[in-house]
Amino acid sequence: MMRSKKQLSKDEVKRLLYKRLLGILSPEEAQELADWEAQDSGNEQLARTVTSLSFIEKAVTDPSHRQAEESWKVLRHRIGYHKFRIGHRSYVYIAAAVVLLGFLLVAGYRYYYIGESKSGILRAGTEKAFVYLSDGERMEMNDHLRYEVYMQQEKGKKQRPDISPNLFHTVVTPRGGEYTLKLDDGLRIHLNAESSLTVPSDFSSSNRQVNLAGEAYFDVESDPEHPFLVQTGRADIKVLGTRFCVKNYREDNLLLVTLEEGEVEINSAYEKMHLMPGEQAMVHHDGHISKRPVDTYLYCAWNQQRIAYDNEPLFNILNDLGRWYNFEAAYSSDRLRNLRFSMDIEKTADFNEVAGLLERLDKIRIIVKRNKVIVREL
Amino acid sequence: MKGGNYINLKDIDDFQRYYVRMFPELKYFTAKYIEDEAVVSDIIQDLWLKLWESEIVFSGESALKAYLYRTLHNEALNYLRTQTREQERYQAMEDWYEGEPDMLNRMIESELYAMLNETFSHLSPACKKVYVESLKGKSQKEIAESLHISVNTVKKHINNANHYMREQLKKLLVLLAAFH
Repeated sequence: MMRSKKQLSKDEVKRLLYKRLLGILSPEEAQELADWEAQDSGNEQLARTVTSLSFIEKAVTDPSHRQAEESWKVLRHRIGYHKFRIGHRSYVYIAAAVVLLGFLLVAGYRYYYIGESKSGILRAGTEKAFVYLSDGERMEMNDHLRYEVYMQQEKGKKQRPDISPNLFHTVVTPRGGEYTLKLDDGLRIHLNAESSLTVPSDFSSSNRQVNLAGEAYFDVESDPEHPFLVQTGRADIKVLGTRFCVKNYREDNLLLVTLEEGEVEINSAYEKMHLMPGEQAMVHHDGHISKRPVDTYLYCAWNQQRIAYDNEPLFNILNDLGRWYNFEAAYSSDRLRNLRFSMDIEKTADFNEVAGLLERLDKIRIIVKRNKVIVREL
Repeated sequence: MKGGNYINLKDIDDFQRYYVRMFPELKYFTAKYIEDEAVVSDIIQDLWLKLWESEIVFSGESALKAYLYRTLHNEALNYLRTQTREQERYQAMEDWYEGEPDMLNRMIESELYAMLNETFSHLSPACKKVYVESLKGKSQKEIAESLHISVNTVKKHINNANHYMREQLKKLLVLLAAFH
């Protein structure tokens, strides 16, 4: 009797195909897979599909995982709704009461504990900012009130006492906040935590200059006739059309300008310098400017909702993260401040996740107490 | 994978875990029939909502999957049938499935897709972009030019991706071996 070909199970086929994708099939396995492919034209077709570039590209770039979470949120709502709708009408009222109570509890909780952790969980920052008008009035910006919408309304009014070339608005993000504003069609500015941006209240093509303290990412469409100017106190950055980020916190020794795309010109009291994509300028206290090629991703990752470091001293990392998670860091010894770490994760993660990554190398222990983060030797 | 591992979807946490974990492969599978992503998501949600309200208990994960794929196949064809402008597509689909009775291979394709997707889900978007370009066989210089980044950045992303892939794949292969 002839020996019949071995019938592969679904999981065996999966395993072989996956190994084929990675190019780690043993000769025997390759033979097994070839036999399986020869059994049926459908098998051959499947093997061809899953090893095609278009399949891999789609699988690598598809944001399916995030969609799954979002879709679940919607489904959970629908489940809650259905559960209470079944049966007697009064359930609807009970459901409404339960939902209302839930809202009140959540609202109360948020009111009391926002930005502060009770159980040692430091939550990631969120989108929030305050705008100080020229008369000192303060407005809170959120999903319902955005700066550009407010300005549009103001500009539509007949009397516009607040809008004039000599009056300024200041947009301020707190610790644990970030905010993105569009000043005109071709200009998007993303402010990182604990930063402030002063803009002329009549920001227009003839008056395109802003003043920055803190950190921001600029996405400026090319408009050679109306250059855009960022002032920082240490140096001015003249922009034609480009993408770049600026880090200019008061406690930092340097002003950093990192250019992703396009071209900018930096003017300090001392000298002038042109930057090309992939370069970073460092402006020193005395106005001296130097530059170097860098991985721009590391410096602008926060603009893409990431936290990324490559071999960076812990002190610098926790200094940045303290602004985003709203904490102050303390170290049990100076040696710890200079330990170096690398990471690349989503910045919406709780601080616990970040701490878990830092602890993984078994060099330090991180303790969170309210808004203090204590780093200890292991 | 012996019997006795009954899946009871009455616990909301279990239910959520299964939903979130299976969503990518089910989406991929259903999108083979229907282009509109919003419709695909709706169909998947409707099915799970029915599941939540039903009393079905599954004898194991493969039974659950068989049910999900089979039902999605029917629901997707139903949807195409009701869309008059999709008549042609429906006809083509029906012919295609007539000629290809093998649901199993469709499942394998979808599951492999979800595995790859999961493997890469923790890489940064910038890193993914560079990695895909390098898979296409572009040189580092070409990638740098097309994405407007420096060659150094490209190198770093490719290194990161390779390193990360090795780690992830080790885990995955362990998982796969467990089925063996």
